[in-house]
This record gives sequence, structure tokens and C-alpha cells, in this order.
Amino acid sequence: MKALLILATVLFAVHDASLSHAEPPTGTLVGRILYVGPAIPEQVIEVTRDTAFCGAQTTHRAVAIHSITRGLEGAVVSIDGIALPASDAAMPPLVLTNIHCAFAPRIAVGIVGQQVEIRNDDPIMHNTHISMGPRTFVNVAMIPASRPVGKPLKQPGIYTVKCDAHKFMQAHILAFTHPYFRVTDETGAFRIPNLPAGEHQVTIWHDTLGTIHQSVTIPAQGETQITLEYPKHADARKQ
Amino acid sequence: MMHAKHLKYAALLIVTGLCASTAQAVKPATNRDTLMEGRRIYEQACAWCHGIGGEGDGPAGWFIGRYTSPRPRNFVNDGYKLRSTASGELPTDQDLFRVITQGIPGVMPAYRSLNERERWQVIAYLKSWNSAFEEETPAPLTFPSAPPGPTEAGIQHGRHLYVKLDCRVCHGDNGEGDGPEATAGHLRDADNLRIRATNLTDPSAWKNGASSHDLLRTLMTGLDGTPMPSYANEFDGQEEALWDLVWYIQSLSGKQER
Amino acid sequence: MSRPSAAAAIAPLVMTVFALVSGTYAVSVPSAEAIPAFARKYTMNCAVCHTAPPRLNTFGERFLENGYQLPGTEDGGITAKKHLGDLSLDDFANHTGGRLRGNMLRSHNFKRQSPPAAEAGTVHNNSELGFPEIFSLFTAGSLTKNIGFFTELESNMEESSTGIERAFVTFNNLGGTNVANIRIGRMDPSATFSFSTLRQQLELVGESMNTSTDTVQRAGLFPLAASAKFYGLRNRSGTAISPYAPSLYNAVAETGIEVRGRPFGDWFMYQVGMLNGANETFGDSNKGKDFYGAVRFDYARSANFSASLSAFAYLGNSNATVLTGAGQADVNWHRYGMAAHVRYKMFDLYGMYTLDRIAHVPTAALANFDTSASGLSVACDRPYAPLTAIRQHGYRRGSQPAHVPKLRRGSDQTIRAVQCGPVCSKRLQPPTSRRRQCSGP
Repeated sequence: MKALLILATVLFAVHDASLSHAEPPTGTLVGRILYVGPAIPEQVIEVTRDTAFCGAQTTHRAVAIHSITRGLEGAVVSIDGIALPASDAAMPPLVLTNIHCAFAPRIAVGIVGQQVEIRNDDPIMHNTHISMGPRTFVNVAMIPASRPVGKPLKQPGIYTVKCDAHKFMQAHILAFTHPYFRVTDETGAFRIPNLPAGEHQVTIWHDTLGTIHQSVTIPAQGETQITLEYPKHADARKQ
Repeated sequence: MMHAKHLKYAALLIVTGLCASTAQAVKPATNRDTLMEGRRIYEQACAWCHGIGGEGDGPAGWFIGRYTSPRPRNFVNDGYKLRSTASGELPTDQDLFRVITQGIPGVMPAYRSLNERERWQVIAYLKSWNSAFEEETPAPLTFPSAPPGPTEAGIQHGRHLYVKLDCRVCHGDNGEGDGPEATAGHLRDADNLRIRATNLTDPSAWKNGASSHDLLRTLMTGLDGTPMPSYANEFDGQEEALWDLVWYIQSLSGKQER
Repeated sequence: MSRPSAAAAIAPLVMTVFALVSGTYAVSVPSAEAIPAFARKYTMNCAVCHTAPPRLNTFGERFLENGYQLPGTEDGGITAKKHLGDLSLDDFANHTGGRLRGNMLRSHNFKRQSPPAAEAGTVHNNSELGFPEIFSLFTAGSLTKNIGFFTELESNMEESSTGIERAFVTFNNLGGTNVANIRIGRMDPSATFSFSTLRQQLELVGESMNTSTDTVQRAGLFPLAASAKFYGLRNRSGTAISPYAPSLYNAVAETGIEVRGRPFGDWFMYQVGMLNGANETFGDSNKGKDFYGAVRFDYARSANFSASLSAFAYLGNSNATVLTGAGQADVNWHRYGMAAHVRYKMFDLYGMYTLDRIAHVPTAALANFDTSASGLSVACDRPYAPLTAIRQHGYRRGSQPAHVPKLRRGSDQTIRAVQCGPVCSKRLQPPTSRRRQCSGP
């Protein structure tokens, strides 16, 4: 009886050991999202309140393009449909700050379960109102130097962020059920590591230009490079 | 030994029975019979505005607001406005019961002629449209109890808070709903319909109730789906200040209801 | 005495009216029936029941059918928290609404008359002050559970008459929810029809008659399908019935009893009633009673849309008379009709077709008298807050006197009515030299 127990324990240990030594996926997707359409000028938006602090006007770059690479900043690249290994890793909060009468970051990305932390670093009141469609996620008044307000993301999808006191402020939060997403930097580049091998559907979303879908094949190791262009590949529908 | 055990069980049963016989004794379990009854009541009394599918598109619902807020609640997709829970949360069953019983001034009649059991049945039915009720457990906020009564200094402090917290931006300097954001037409609800800032000088028109407790609840929970935010974060640990604001707002109408 | 020629007997009468009327929340109402008392009782704004008063939305229709109790409930006496025997003056006042109605200033100018200069002296008047013209006092609501009531007292200053316009009691939900509802009293039979006589945005404008020659100088303004349509009909006391007066099933007020219900669900309603008939204000001068029956099919579920289709048959029993050489002779005046309504968001379209037949006409009168007539009315209201655009077409066939000029669109008989909103009310219309009251002879 005891001998059998020892044998079973040893076998389990060996099995466990083999699991912990399993290779994590090492495929990587790198690339650049470009915009090759006609130049879209910066929008000048009138500041409706608190002009003493926010200024009389503010500019909004609907499409932010790098002058050299023609890369598109602020596009969200994501890959769905990958089975996720269980992970208890604590996630740092997704911080959304009201600063200089704007939201920072303007395009925020997070994982379901991650805590959204709303801060106000301005000396004026803001009212941060986050919702998905008709359902409010949170709508809180934030006084200057307010204590941060935290709330975990429960649903995946695209949240709109606005301030009811300042109509010109706008942002988005995209929540995913997996960690396979990145926001393109100012050169339009992105890099998503730790992808399992196989055929995957890549989705690129931009708040003004809409959505592109692309199939890619990720190797077991090494990088796959893609370059996608707006508006050429974009859906007719915009998000 | 066995004798004592039986006594214990008996005591447990009696206590459970007593508990069940208080407050929500008539609240039926959510089973098929309850939902069928709820559906029958809903289709006779509620579907005219809320629609046969609960999407707020009943044949009579459009005219309540026409092109402005409010529209009848869409029970399938929407969040809820009148609650005792935190911002972005669903209402408790008691919140839904209160709204059906008292109605919403101006837009929804009070259905207190339906007996309590019928009201709970309808609530079970309208909750069944929104799967979020199965995934989330709404919990009411803890509301601070009221101090003995308003004081002059408290009301002055309330006025100071009213300005500091930018209430006047929407509700106006005298609370008449004519603040700059309201008159500029910037206020929109979750359906992008024009919405007015409440006239604080007329409590009988307040949709979330006119009592001081109702007012406190509105400030703490915010009205989801409207530009009215929750101030719970700002008053955390400062209950007295919150009550000062409540007294001040009530002083705008010259009425103090407890 | 009308003498229609054979050729003119089937000449159609067509009238088109395009009007802008404000239909906002309650205060200024062109014609009878929005009741502020209900708004007070339930703390509601008027738009909960009305599209543009007095037209009802689907919720308002069911509220009216339920004897002024919330649909799906039997809350009479509960919401008001009083019981019979416990009523006070305040309670009564809470059930009461009053309305002053009239034209602040009206002007008229006839360019064409028949015969020319027929109304000399009253042709052109730009400064007639006419407010208030009609004062109505309504009391309505539910007395207790499942017992409702309605009374309307109207004082018409132009005609110097005061009287009970309508008064009835309802007993609701007999035998089960919406199985049978009884209405007894002086009431409008078409209250729950797809095209209800009293739920019109445009107010009745009576015709202009030259009584010495008995000729119509200007057609009245009212849904022609609901009107009497016949020239030469008289009531039992010998007074001529105006061809523009709403009559029979579509009358404003008749005394009788009816039963109505939706026993199989919201989609089907039946209605059966019996009236004294004969256009009599009180009492019944003959043994015969008039009977009517109606059915209505409803679709009202979602998508901000509702529609209904109704049909009625009204069988009169010595309810009118015609003049023969020998005096007055009783005739039986029947009517059959169908109506439909469609409502989508702000758009309200409704129409009715009626077919009248007069039976039992003495042979002596037959040569000069059409025994059938038909009418078609279609109306469309669409509020553009705070104004309502109304378009109403009326078409009548049969029983047309020879000397009524054919109306053309855009002629001076076209009426334009403008109502600005709750505060001001200004209506431009050619007035009648003798305004015919809706009810009574």
C-alpha cells in the first residue's frame, strides 16, 4: 500500500515537472499600421468650459500619422480566439487620468478583471463618464486632486469615455479577455509576443478609421511581420 | 443527545420561519409560474410603454419624451437610473419594487394597485430579459444616517459645496436647471437624447424621490444613463458634508422633508 | 326643403384641409377631451396618454376602456385612497377639469357665395372678438374599484345654451379582466372605435346655411364619414338634421347602454349597444330603439407602432323622419362602417368609410330623396413640437342639393387654423352664421 503511494507520488512529481517545463508559446507578431489616404487635418475644437485653464481651443488629431514612416498612432491590434492558459498573475491597474483637459491615455487597453483607476490631475472638476452602449460602466465626479476611483472591467468590448462637464474630452477603453493586444506607437509599430503557432485572425481597430481584419500564420518560433494600410484594407463600417 | 438535536432543528426551523414572515414574505421564488404570472401582468399593464419584448419601444412609449429624454426603460440592454447601488451597478430588487410602487413623477404611473406579490412577479419577469442580473449581484451602498436637522452653518457650507462641486454648471445658480451646460444644450442621455438638468426648486418632479434620503441616495449613486455623476468618492468619510449639501439643496425649494 | 336633382344626387363633395395646430401638453386644446384631472391624479404629464390632445395613444385608449383605471389594474378608488361615502370637496375638485375654448379674434371674408351676395352684411368682418365661446366643465374618473364616471357640462355662449353634453357611468371588468365593461348614460358610441368622433384635432365648424332658401352656402368642416350626409332628414320633433352633424354610431352624445370587452386578449374587442336613438336629448318619443355592434382588431406590441381595424353596424328604428305632402313620416336610418388607424412614433393616420341607408321611405318622398349615401374621411396628424400638422380629406357621395357649388381645393372654403402653443390661441376661420351644435337638434 505504502509502496504504491510512493510510486504514485513519484509519478505525479515527474508529470508535474514535465508540465512546468513545457515550452511557452514563443511566436511573435510584429508589424506596422500605416495610413496612406489623403491627409486629415487636425480638428480645432472649441473649449466649452474652464477656458482659463484649458485654453480657448483645443486640437484633436483624428488620424495621427508619423511623418517619416506614415505609421498610424493609436490603433489597437488584437488577436482573438487563442485559448488562454490559467494565470493568477496580479494585473496592475489601468490608469486613466484627466490631465490638461484631456484623457491620458486617449486609447487605453486592458484585460477583463483589470482594475480601471480614474484620476484627476487638473485643478478643475471633471466628471468621468465611461459607458458601453447604453449601459453605464461608471459615472463619477472627480474633484481636483481627488482620490482615485477604481472599478474592475467586467465585460470585454469598447468603452467610450467622456466628461459631461467638458464636451470636447473623449477617450476609449478596449477590454479583452486575453493579453494579445497592443496599441501602435507614434511610428505605427507594434509587437505582440508569446503567441502560439497557427493561423490567427488579427483585428486592427482605430476610433476614426474603423476596423481591419487580416489572417496571419504564426510560426512556432520567431517573428511574423505584417504591414497593413488604412484606408485600403478597412471595412466600410466604422466602429 | 438525539433529543437536543431535534430541539435544535426545531428552533432553527422556527427562527427561519419567523425571518421569512417579515418584510419580503410575499416575494415568490423565481420559477416558471412566477415568470408566467409576471408576463401576464406585464403584457396588460406595462407593455404599452415598455414594449412586448421589454425594449422600451411600446406603442405609447415614444410620446412621453418624443425627441427628448426620457424614453421608457429598455430592460434588455440598458443600465438602470434609479438605484441604491454604486455607479454602473444594477439595481437591487428593492429598488425595482420602489419604482413600480411609487412610479416616476411625470412619466410613469404608480402601480401600487397591483398587490405586492404581483409586483414581485413582474420584477422577476423584467429581470429575466437581462442576463447581467444572473452574473452580477447588486449590493446597496451604505447610506449615512441623518443628523438631527439642518443648521444655518450647514446650509452655508452646503452652498459652498454646491459651487465647488460644479453643481451650478448644470443645475444653475439657484437650482432651476438653467446652468450653462444645460442652456447650451450639451446634456445628453445614454440614448443621445437631449435631457434637462433637474429643477431643484421643485422636489415633486424629482424622479428619484423628494425626501432627504432620496436626495442623498441620488448624490451617492448618480443617475446612470444621464450626465448626473456619483459623488460617493468625494464624500467618502465626510458624511456631515454630504448632509450639508442635502440641506442646502432642500433649502432651494423652501421645503425640508425628512 | 331640399330638392336635389337627379344629376346632383351622386355628386361628390370633396374637402381638403391642411392645418397647423399645436398639440403640446394639455393646456390649449382645440376640441373636447383631454382631462387634466387624470394628469393630477397620477402625477403624469399629458403625453403619457395623449399623442396630441385630444387624440389618445395606445396607453390612453386602454385607460379609457378600463373605466379610467390604469390598464391591467383595477385601481379605481385605491390610487385616490378614498371610498364611496368618504368623498370631500377636495376629492371632487381633483376629479374635475375645466376648459374655456374659443377664438380670441376671428375674421372672415367670403369672396364667393351662392347665390352671389347671399350673406350681404356679414361678408367681411375683421374684428370679431370671440372669447370665450364655449366653457366646459368635466368631471371624470373612477369612483371606486371598477366603477368609473364621466360628465361634461357645456355652456355655449354663441348659442346661449347650457347643458349636459355627455354623462355616463361605467362598470368595468365584469366576469374577469376586460371580459365585459358596461357604459350607461349619455355617451359617444364611437369612443373606442378606430376612428373616434370626439378625438379629432380639428374642431367642428358648422356649415353656413341660408335658411330661407334652405341652401348651403359653405360646407361645414367635420369628418364627412361621421356626418349625417343627408339633406331633408329631420328628427322626430321636425327639426332639420344638418348634413354635417355627426350622427348615429358616430354621434357626439346619445343615451343608451353598451357592453364592450376584450375577452380573448388585447387583439380583439367586441361592442354591443342599444340607444334611445332619434337624436333626442332626453327620453324616447318612440318605442323603437337603435342597436349597434362593433368589432375591433388591434396590433400593439413594440417598435413604437400600433394599428387597429374596426367595423360597425348601426340599425336605426324610426330614428328620423322625412317630410311628405301628408306630413312627417318615420324612416329607419342605418349605417355601416369600417375604420382603421396606424400609429408610428409621431405619425398618426386614421380613416373611416361609412355607408348610410335609409329604409322605409314613403313612396311619395322617394322621387326627391336619395336613400343611400357614403362618406370617407382620412386624417393624418403629425406633431412637429410644438405644432401639429393636420391633413384631413373628406369625401361624400349621395344626397347633394343641386345648387351647392362644387368645391375646389384652395377655394375660400379652405380653412387654415394655426395655434401657437399653450399660451396663445389664434384661429382664422370663416365663421358660421348659425353654428350647429354637435349634439341635439
